[in-house]
Amino acid sequence: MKRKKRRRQQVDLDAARALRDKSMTFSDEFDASDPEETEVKLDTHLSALLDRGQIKTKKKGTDLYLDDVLVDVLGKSEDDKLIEDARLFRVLISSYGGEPTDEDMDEAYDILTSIVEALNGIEGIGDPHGQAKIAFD
Amino acid sequence: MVLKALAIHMDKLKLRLIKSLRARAETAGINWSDFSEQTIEVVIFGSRPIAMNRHDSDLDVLAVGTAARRIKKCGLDLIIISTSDLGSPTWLGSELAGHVARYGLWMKGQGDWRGKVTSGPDTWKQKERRLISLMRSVRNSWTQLHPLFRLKYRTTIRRELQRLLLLQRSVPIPPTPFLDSEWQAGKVQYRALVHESEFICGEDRNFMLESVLD
Repeated sequence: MKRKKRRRQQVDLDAARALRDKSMTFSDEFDASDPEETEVKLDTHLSALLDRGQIKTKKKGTDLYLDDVLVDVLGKSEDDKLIEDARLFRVLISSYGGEPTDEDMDEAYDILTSIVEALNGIEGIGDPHGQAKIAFD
Repeated sequence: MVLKALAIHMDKLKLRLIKSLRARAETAGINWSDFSEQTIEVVIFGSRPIAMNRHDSDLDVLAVGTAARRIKKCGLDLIIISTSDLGSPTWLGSELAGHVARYGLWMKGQGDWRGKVTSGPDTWKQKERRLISLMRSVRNSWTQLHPLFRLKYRTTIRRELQRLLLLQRSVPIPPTPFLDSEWQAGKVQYRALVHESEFICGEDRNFMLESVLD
């Protein structure tokens, strides 16, 4: 039982690296003035990771979000602060009940920055530029 | 007799929801007595008051307090609006205000603002703009989207079209599971939604009919 728990908490480094690189690209593209385009861009990046097999999901017929991917890749629990922040990020950029405000989008961007920082801080994840080079090779 | 039974049912529902709110708020690190002191209205809305929630649905709560804030954690989606925003045309004309006014269940306060809610062209025109922007973004990325995300946007666009048509008729937006049940029951047809939406034209219309609705 203990071994099972430990395995669940392990970070999938390759997936975390791929997610970190995509998150950095997404962070550069993040357009606070265009919430719809921003939401679709994130899903396009997650799609690329899924299509290349860099991340996996068991989800069928239900929505997949950045917080779900972070749970799988980082082995974090649902109530981890980073996961909760990612969940808030999802809500802020979507426009349930109306258009996200500028403040919503600014807050979302701050959360995205903290996610990138958290991914960059993972031990053994390596330098983003180095990884980008490997990806090009 | 029926009214009395209904009143008992509502009291039980309110009690259950307030217990759930308190538990979620405390898990989310919100001090319950501070929250109670600093809010003049607390309303639960969304799928739970009409018992159409999934077991993992968030508890959607609107509170009126001193400062605007949004908290989404531990199964709680809490929107706090400030007392000064409560009377503003922006709030009173918003989709959310219309929804809460019609479907919200008041745990605290009276909701005197409910009678001032408006649903004018500004509200549905904003929805129309969002839909156009969303459709274009989805169209431009459609081939790059994984089937999971294509399904997500099919659903999102369909729900938004349903909401738009309701807003245009000045009907408050019901909770999302209600929109889905209308769809599943065949009361709403995707093609009819697109055809009724005159603002969807040209390439957007072709995309909606040929790719999204395939």
